[in-house]
Amino acid sequence: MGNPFKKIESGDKKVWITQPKEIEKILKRKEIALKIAKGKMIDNGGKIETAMQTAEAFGRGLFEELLKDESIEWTMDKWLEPVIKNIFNPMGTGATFTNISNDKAKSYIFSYGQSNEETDDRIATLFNYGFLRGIFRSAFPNGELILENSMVDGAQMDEFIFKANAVESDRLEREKIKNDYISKKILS
Amino acid sequence: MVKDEFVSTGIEKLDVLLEGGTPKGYTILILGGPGSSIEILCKQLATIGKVLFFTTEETRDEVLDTISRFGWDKSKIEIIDIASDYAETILSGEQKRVSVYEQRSKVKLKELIEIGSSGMPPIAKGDQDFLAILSDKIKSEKSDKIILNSLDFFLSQYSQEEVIRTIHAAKISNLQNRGVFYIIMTRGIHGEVFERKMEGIADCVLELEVIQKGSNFERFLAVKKMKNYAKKIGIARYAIDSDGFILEMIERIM
Repeated sequence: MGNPFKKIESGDKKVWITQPKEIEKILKRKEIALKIAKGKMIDNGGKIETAMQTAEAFGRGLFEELLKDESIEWTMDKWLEPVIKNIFNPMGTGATFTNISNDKAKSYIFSYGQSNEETDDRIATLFNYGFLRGIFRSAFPNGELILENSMVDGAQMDEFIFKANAVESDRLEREKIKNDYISKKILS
Repeated sequence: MVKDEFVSTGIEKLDVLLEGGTPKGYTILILGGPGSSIEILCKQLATIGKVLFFTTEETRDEVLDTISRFGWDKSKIEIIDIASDYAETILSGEQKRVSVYEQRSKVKLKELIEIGSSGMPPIAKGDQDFLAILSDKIKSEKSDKIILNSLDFFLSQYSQEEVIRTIHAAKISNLQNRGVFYIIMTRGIHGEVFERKMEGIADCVLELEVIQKGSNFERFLAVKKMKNYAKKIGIARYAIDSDGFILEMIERIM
């Protein structure tokens, strides 16, 4: 079995690129979870918090099923490799990871495969943030996921920073994403 | 007619489907998805008996508004408003939740069952550990019914293993208190393995299903598991009207 990702190394710099190979069952699970998140949000009077929690719970469930290993003391690259292999690739996610250190990595996601079709892009962005955060914080409870740029706002790619040890100013990122959804949804 | 060893659900036809209500001491898992009106069902269940109601998605006022809208009795409901507490917690920053998470991992299941949240290591003032609140309240308050709406919230905040341990402890506390413990959970989010584990823990499993047939939606309530009462397994079509859940047809499977 080869690497689940393509490695590019240039001097000190290493970049990992996913090798998407969609597996229908996992892709379908994400599509269903996204539909449920939207449905629950509607049932609950449009509360964004409901959709975010649903996405995070979905991410935590994926971690438990596909990544959890009691024997591992998680570091960023130990976490990234199985995430790429078991989640990103089967879901058809096109992404590159760079600036990988023990407690931090940056990712550029340029495609979410088929799973975001036929849906409101902004709720899909919120869902993607939530489920990635769920997977990430299952391994790094002190961590935080930062969304730096988003394709729905015109960026070329979704830019995420995975921080295993979040600082005080990162703590309200999740609320920022929710507020962003609400304000831009109203304007659009 | 509900016998002494059973607790009425608050829905007459559901009591009939269950042949006398739900047995005391039982833990009941209710599975459903968007459009199933599961949020109405859990409020209707709360209208009979002394009830401890944990709400994680709606605030206390929203729960009571819905109950009032249907004209149901709300005089015996104690609401634990986790939704509002959580909103306050996240607004005050997530730092505190992290320290609670780390402390929880040191507590053993046996300790959790024996001493509830008082077994937790001391935490700083203002910290909120929602799983501890859940197990502590269930252990200390004797109610006819405990309704948890919903488990999804805890599964977005804690590991599945941690949630299962707490539900185990709460199930035992409920068994000792002879109440009925209803757990609401969304099907399709948490993974098949976890769903099967929860179905295994529960004494009874009810599932709400919405099936689209052409332009119509048909909704069914199925009793999928009932420990020691196989005869109660069955299915009913349901609708919602101004009185709440109306079960229209009953089929026995066994």
